[in-house]
Amino acid sequence: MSYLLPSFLPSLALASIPGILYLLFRRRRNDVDWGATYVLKLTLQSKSRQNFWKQMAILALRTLFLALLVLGFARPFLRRDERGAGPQAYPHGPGTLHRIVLFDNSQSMTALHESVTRADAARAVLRDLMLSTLAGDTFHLVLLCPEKPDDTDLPVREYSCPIPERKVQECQSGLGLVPASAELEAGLRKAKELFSGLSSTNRQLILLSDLTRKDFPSLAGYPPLGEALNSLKVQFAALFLGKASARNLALESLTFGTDLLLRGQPTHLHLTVMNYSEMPSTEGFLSLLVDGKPFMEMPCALSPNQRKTFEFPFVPEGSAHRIEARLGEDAYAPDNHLERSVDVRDRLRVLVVRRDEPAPENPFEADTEFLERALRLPERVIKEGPLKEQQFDEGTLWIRRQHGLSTGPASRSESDLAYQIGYTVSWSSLPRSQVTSTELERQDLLLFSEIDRLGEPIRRSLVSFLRRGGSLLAGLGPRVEAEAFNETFHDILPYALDRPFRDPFEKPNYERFLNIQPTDLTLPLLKEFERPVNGTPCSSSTVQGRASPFSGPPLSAVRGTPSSSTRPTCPCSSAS
Amino acid sequence: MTDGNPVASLLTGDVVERIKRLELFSRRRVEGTLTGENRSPFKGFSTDFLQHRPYSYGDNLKFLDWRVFGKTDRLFIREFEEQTNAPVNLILDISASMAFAGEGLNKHEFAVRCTGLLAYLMHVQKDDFGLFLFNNNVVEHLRPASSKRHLSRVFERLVTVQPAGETVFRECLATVEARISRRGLIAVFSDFMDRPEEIARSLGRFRMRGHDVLAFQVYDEAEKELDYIDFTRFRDLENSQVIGVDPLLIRDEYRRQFLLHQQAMKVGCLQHGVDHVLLPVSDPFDRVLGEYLQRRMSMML
Repeated sequence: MSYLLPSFLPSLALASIPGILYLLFRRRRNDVDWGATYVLKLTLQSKSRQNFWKQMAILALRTLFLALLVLGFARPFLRRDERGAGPQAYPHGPGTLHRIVLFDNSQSMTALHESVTRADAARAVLRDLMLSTLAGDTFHLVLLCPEKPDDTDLPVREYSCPIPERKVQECQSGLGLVPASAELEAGLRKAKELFSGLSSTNRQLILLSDLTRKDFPSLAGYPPLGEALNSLKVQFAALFLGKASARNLALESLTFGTDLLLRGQPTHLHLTVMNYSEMPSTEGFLSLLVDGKPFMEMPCALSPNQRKTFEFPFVPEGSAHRIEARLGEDAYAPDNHLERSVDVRDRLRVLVVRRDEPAPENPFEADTEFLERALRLPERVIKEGPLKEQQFDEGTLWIRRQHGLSTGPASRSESDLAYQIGYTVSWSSLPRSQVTSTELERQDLLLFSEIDRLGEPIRRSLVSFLRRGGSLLAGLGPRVEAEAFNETFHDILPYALDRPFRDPFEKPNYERFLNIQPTDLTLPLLKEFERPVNGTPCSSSTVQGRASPFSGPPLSAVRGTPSSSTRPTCPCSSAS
Repeated sequence: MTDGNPVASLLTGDVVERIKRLELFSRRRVEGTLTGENRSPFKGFSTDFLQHRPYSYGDNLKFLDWRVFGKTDRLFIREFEEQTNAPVNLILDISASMAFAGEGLNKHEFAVRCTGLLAYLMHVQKDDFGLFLFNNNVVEHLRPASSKRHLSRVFERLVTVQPAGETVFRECLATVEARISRRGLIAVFSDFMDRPEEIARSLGRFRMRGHDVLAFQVYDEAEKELDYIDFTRFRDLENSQVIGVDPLLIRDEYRRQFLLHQQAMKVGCLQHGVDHVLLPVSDPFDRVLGEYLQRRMSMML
């Protein structure tokens, strides 16, 4: 016999109350001087033995009543005989069982697990788990991915035990895979809620997942939940449906050096690849296709758990492109392919916002003069010498050595890099007071020249401009007041100015500005311009103007981080 | 109960006023010494004609019925019923079991009051009344008399006596029987906690001797109901024997046995021509006794 609520069983001690009371009453006896002893003796003569048994019977009945009451609260039931492989395969202690299965219904479960997919293997295990429940058990199935993208809660299915075969089949047929990441933390939280809501002798939490590191790093990542589950005495079992040694290279991201692709403007395309396997990946190639045509290939060999970003020089042409990246086949195919469509602009609209002040007598002191010179584009880029050859990094070299491959430099075709400037720059300049919201909507790039104050309507328009994808370059100078600048751009730029900086400008020297001439944007300069920061390509955080006459940096950052997600920052907004 | 006038301590003025209107006469002929309200087995001088009988030598010619002689030429003597006072013997059980008290008076105190009330009533009726106190033996015997002084002695004895000892009905009643020479009225006050058949047989012996016997059974409601909850040790007041029992288990049977005992007493008394009267301690003694006397008077009319 088992009990649904065995926590009541210790209350069986209550059944001893009648006996205790009987003894107590006998101890707490009442002494009475009695006159009618004759009648009392008559009574006892006729009923003494009968009274004794009656007394015992009443005592037994009281005890039995209390015992039955307690057992009633404990909800006893008779378990049927064990069947199938259930209790043998997933044993637990005596008493009732509350079993929760976290089922990974992410797309990664389509990967092959021996001869079947991981999802099919998980379904087979799930079937055993469902059929092995007995009367009085509780079974919950929690899917780790919401079935609809808008759902915030994980789907939970409850089954009354024992679960008939028909219900098991219905459950399995209704388990579809969804293109989303498994939310293990939410699943564990849901399991904790379900376990806390029911009292049971045995608690089992079984995770059916491929245990890819993307979905499930380790329980150590969830210490509060882990402690809570441990306090509930939950048996945890994770069924590993994949092999740690299985090859699994995944394309994690495909990004461009800039979000504003201009026709003929060279940029870089960054592809991040991760080796989720516990084994080094075999020699393979990372292929890039543009509009369905092979564009470039790179050898891709990663050590275990290594993440690497590959960069491809790319010159957009036409008006739109479909970019595809492909890896070789491995255990999990869905993450071997990434695709992205991009639009290419043929015109860059730039607005220069300058301070409200009369034009200087010397035209070189005007910002527009420099900009005009800087933005005057040539019609064609002239190739300058041979390209720098690509070298393998240490990881790739290690892989190649392991596989006996050549470790020499890889060469690329030089002809692929010849290009023509295919876009125009239309720029205009306005003083700060004349900038309107309508004007901002028409621009792609804003250049702020020593602007530290903006009216509130314009500031709001600027924010919406950046949210739409516009770019902002804020140029600082000695006339910028840090306090006003910070107040204006506190929720726009990730950096704040610390203190005013004044350049002595003792002796004007305009010779260096005369050297600024329209020039070709060569590849090394581009690489410098788009150099990845902390492994992540981000052109918006680069610093321009290395030819600055100042010995130190023009500004110092004291707060905020570029990756702060609480601010409505645009990836292209920058401080230079 | 012993302080002051013993009569006043037993009978209050109200009680005395109430019982003055009552009378207790014997239904049977009694052998009184003085003229009274009771019928006597002897012929005497009264206005109540009894019978004619043939004249025999030596009869007083004063009682010759000349009218009958004139009609029949035969001599007949007229006889008249003698009326005398009734000798009343009050027999009080002073065994220890009479000391049981529920709430209020105990059985002994109640019986003492009833005895005193009857004694006073007899005194008022100018009847002789005597007193027997017994437990396992006859402890005290005051011979019947009707004087005020005798009443005081009876009352004084009643208020001073304390219940003690065991009850032995058979021997005690036999002793009483031997000491009573004249037929009269016998009133026994006791709880009769013994075999009812034997008690009734002993009382029946009085009846066979021509006495008019009244058996007053005094009982307490607490004795009858056994309203105890805890496990109780009942100590016998007479012999200190202890009986431990759970009252809840035997209550119903005990009550049944108690009623059976009273029933057996009643039946036994009825069989032997003895009046059986139940006197619950919880009721006012003058009312209970008064009701009985009233009923008895109405039956005699």
